[in-house]
Amino acid sequence: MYIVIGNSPKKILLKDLNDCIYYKQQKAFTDAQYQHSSELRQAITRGFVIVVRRTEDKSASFNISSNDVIPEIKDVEIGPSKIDQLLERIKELEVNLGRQNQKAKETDSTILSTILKRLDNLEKKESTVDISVIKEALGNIEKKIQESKAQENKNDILVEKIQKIINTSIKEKTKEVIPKKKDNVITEERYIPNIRVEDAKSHINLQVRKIDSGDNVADSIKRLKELRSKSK
Amino acid sequence: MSFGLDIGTSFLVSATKDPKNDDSPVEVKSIRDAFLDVDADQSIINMLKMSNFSYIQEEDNIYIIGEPALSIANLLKREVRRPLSQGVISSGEYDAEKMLIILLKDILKKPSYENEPVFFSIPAESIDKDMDVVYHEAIFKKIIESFGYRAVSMNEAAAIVYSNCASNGFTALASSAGAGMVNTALVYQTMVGMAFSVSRSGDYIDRSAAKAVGSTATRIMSIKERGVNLLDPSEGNPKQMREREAIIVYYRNLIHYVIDTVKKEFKKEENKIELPDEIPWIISGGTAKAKNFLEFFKREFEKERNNFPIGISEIRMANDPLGDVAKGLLIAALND
Repeated sequence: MYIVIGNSPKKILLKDLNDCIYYKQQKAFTDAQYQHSSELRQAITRGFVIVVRRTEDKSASFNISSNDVIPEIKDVEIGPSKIDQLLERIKELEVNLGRQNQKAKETDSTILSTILKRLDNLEKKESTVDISVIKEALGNIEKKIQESKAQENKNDILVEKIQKIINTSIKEKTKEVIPKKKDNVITEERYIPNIRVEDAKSHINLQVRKIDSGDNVADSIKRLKELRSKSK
Repeated sequence: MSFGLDIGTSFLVSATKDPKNDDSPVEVKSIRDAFLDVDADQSIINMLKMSNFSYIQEEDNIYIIGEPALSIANLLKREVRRPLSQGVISSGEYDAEKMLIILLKDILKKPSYENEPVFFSIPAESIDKDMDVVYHEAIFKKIIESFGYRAVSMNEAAAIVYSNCASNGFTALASSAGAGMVNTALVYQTMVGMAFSVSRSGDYIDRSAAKAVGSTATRIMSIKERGVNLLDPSEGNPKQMREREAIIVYYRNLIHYVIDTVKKEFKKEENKIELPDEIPWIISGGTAKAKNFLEFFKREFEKERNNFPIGISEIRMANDPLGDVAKGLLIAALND
């Protein structure tokens, strides 16, 4: 894109572009237009048109440099996370389970010793109970002991699984913006040119009309005052 | 005196009234915002003086101003130059800025007292084109304050609500269809809830129709302003039928574009705006002066009424499509 300005008091005709450039008029031409127009290139060579700047060909877009400072964003852990709370609870349960298991073990040993004592007594005394019944009872006791052991294993498996989850879990995070100092930021001031027109002689005929009472300007003014006083 | 100043792509319009006298009339001054440079020749100067044409002479340059610039440009098959393009001043157009200063000086004259207020119009940000409203506002503020006035900017479409909707509690949807753009604002009791502009308007119709029929935009503008009946393209010079048909096609295109844009923009703001059930839609601006524009607009709107997000009680034209922006600004200035 060629941004040019007219540098000749006379209008520069660009017939091959069906265009013209006036004195101090700024215009933009694409690279394709510049390549196509020998008259434009000639005018630039002769100094009748000056190239102000060259940019990349874009359509209707502004290249406005931003003075905004992009802040650093980092991940920050928030907590205590829910996983941590779960872990604590599990530990408590483990401790309770451990105590229960301890009790269970103690209970088991107590039960066994009681059973053994009875068995001793039974051995010493003649029993009227059938041997098959005794065998069945012992078999049931054995089953219950086996079940109790299996339950202990299940608990261990469960604890293992939960531990695995905790170890592989992603901690909860959030993003925090760390503001950067704006010491080096310069706010761009907008240049508004001073334009002199003292040398110009003007002969202007304005179209003037007067609007009388038929118009509703007076009524609008009155109602606006009422609305403003109501809102105060 | 307080001033309302409508700075448009096609016209500069001012409205003024003596604030101390309620019965004083409103004076509206206007001039077409166009100029044409011609060679400085004594015969041309004599011709301009005899014809009472407005012109500016600076060194070896003559600039014909206003309506005559258009007629002579047509005669010479040239395009007029405009100080404003698509609603805003273009930075770098030094001649254009000079023209504006001279014209505004002539319109405003010297202030009657210090800090006399001038409320001037600015467009809303465009949603479909990059445009420098900040520069536009800053340069006019500087120009007006250099004359000794206190300059206050105000949205152009909101000004129409001030001048046309006193009986509606200053609540309405308003669109000002000028030459360079259509400005739209949704106003609730003078507060602007939503405002935007689109870069299609009268000039877009002229350019598009000119391209379609192989003519110039200035010629199409003349045909349009001479009178095109939007409901009947056969009305008028039979030799210009094609031009009129093309103009109507692009008018229809423009209306639907504006309606669609209002729908999209309102969707972004609807959670923040509480409106009465139905509000009027006021249409203003030079582009809306075409014959049967209101009827044409209503017909096109009815096709989309069912999925239009704002309840519209009526669509009506501004009382004075060319002067109501300036009058609305004057009303705001008198209440300042």
